[in-house]
Amino acid sequence: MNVAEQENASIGKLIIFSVSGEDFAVDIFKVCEVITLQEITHLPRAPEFVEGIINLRGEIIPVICLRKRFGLPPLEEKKDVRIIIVEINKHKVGLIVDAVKEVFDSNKSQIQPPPPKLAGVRLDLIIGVGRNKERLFVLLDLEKVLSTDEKIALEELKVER
Amino acid sequence: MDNEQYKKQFLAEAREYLQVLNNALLDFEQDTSSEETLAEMFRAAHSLKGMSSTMGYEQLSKLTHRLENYFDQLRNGSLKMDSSLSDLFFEALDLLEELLMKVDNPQETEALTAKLLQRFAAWDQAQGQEIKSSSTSEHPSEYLSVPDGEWILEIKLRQGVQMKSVRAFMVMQKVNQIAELVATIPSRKAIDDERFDREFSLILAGEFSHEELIKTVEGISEIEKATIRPYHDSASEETEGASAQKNGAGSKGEGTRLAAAERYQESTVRVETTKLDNLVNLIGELVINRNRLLELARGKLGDELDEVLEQQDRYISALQEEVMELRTVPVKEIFNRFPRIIRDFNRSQEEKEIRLKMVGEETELDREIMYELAEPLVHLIRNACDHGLESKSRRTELGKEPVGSIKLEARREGSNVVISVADDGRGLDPEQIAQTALQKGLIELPELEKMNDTEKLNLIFCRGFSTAEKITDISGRGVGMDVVKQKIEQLRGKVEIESKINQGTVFRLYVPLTLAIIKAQLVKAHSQVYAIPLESIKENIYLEDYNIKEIRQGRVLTLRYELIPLLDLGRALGYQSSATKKSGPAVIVEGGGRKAALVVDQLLEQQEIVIKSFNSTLLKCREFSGATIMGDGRISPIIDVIGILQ
Repeated sequence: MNVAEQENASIGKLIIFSVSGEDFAVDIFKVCEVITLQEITHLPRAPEFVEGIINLRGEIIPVICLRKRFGLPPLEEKKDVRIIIVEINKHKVGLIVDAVKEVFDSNKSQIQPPPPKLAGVRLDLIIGVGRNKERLFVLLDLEKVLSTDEKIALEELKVER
Repeated sequence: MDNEQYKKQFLAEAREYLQVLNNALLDFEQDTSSEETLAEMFRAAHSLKGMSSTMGYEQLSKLTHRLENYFDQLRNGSLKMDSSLSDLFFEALDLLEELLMKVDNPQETEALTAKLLQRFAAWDQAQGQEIKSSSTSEHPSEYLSVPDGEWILEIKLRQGVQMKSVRAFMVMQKVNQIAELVATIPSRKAIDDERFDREFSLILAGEFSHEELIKTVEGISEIEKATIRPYHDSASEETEGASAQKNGAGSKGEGTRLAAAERYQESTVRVETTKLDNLVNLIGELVINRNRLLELARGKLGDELDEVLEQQDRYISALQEEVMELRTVPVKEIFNRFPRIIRDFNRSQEEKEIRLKMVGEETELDREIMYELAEPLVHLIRNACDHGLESKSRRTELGKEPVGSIKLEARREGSNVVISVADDGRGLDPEQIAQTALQKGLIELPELEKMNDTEKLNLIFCRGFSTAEKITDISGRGVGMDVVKQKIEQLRGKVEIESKINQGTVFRLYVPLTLAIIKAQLVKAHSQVYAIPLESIKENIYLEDYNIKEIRQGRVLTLRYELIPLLDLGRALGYQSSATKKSGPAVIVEGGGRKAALVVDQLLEQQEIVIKSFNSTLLKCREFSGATIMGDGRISPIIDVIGILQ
């Protein structure tokens, strides 16, 4: 979804989560539920960032570790770790994040397109940037983040310079 | 039911009518004297027209009306069936089908309608005949009643009869076997509720022996009299009045109009496929839960509870079987398209003529499997048309009947359905295939020398193999035989070829009856439980019983004079396995023409598992075909034997 479409689709509530100290957001309409970490069945040949599959009340759902997706080591302290179940292209996917922080009620004006001149930032993966109190968060284009095989470094998603 | 649902139902039914028209037209082309076929075409067009106008699809209704006009002219002899007319009809049906798909897009429907009307006009002009379409459409009532198709059967029950509705029901049952029951007077509901005196009437359609009908009906006990006479719309007023009178005061003004009369309910209902899928999924859950319950309860309960549990187990199994049956549909649904393909092929060129014979169209198969089979079958049939069968002149030279034949057959064999495509054409030459494969570098000479004829024939399934000398629009669309094989194997099925030079070729597709629940062997490797489908398993062995040899490519064992490579399951799945095991269990699996002994850590039980697919585009795992959930809620990935052996 690009910025224009996103505007039409009315940005309402967002879920803000953190990965390695950075805040990200995802449209609440794409989120099915948030669950605590549970037993994950590993699939060794799957792409590296795929943690495995889980049984969510009889449905089998692949789970992706966003830390691994951004090339970061796993978290030691797993107390706050959550799996956000999102629906992308009619498929459910779980995202492992360091913590889920809050539900943020935004309006369109609060979400800005990312500043285009930032060097080293993957603008194609970012729908917009918003501010929650004093902290910036990045509204991710999950479809793109999950569909590409390219490496994505967390640095490339930082818009605060 | 909301509008959207009505529409879905309408579209499904309309498609069915178009299919009926297609088939009837094919029959009619063969035998233009068959009044029965013509009547069938007429009826289908008529119903479609009525439905379309009820739904407010005026264009569709208008176009079907034109078709009906042509059929009517055929019937009264003012028009003769010829190839140009049948081409026109087929084209019209294709356009109508397209129209159905775009029924909600006014621009598209407008364009398609115009196109078809133009086509009709062009044909009329070419024939130098003026179809009085304008005049006929002014009198639609003339077409609303099928002139020789509808009859009214009046039935009088004996004085003082008990359970009138049951008698009426019996009559309707019997009558429906002979003729098509269109409506009842009074309404079906009124009859069921016994809201009639001693008389009721049935409106019937179709052609049938009146004598036989009367005899059958009067043969039912407690029937005093049955009479039949033609039913016309013009007479409906009279009938209406008369029956209202007969029905007495109680049912006055209720349900007596034909328009209001309920259509006779057939013994089938239409259910949305998503509902069926949900039902299958729920049954799947129930099966999983049952397994879990049995596991938990094992030995812990008293005899009485055990018995109840066992009984429940049986019910669930029966329920599961019934529900799986619901998913099945007759193969007719895909076979239906082939007569048309053959007809178009025959019309498109002069050199060949092909006759198609279909057997076992009623054989039932899982809907999803059938859907997947359509493409491979089309490919096989097209191949037979293009490459399998010879030209008429060549066939005459060989002393064969000039018309080539293709036989499409479906039958059930154990837990499989076998669909075969057999032609009586030139056959496949194993040597020629072997040479081609060699030239294309698909195989090495030493390997080839060891092959028998069947194995050589199977080379046509290799990727990059194609014996096509010329590409026509029937075949040569880029799908090769490798795709056929791949598709079938994805369905956990297999393909066999049998061929004799100059006598013909048979392709046999073996597919399982169902996809959702299978029997599987559970194994443990790298502390994870995996499921291996039983169809892919030849046998289970213990390594210590066999002589294992080290060769350059790895380890092999000799099983009944056959060398079988050893494959450590954990390693095949991508784990680093430490020691190479010399003892322990192994599962001999076969898939995609290869065999291997999968070395596992532990053999567990065999059980029925419910296959759950997972998002394979994201996971990119070809060694798994899905996963299942065990009794304890854990996940066991299902090994795709073909994938793992590649």
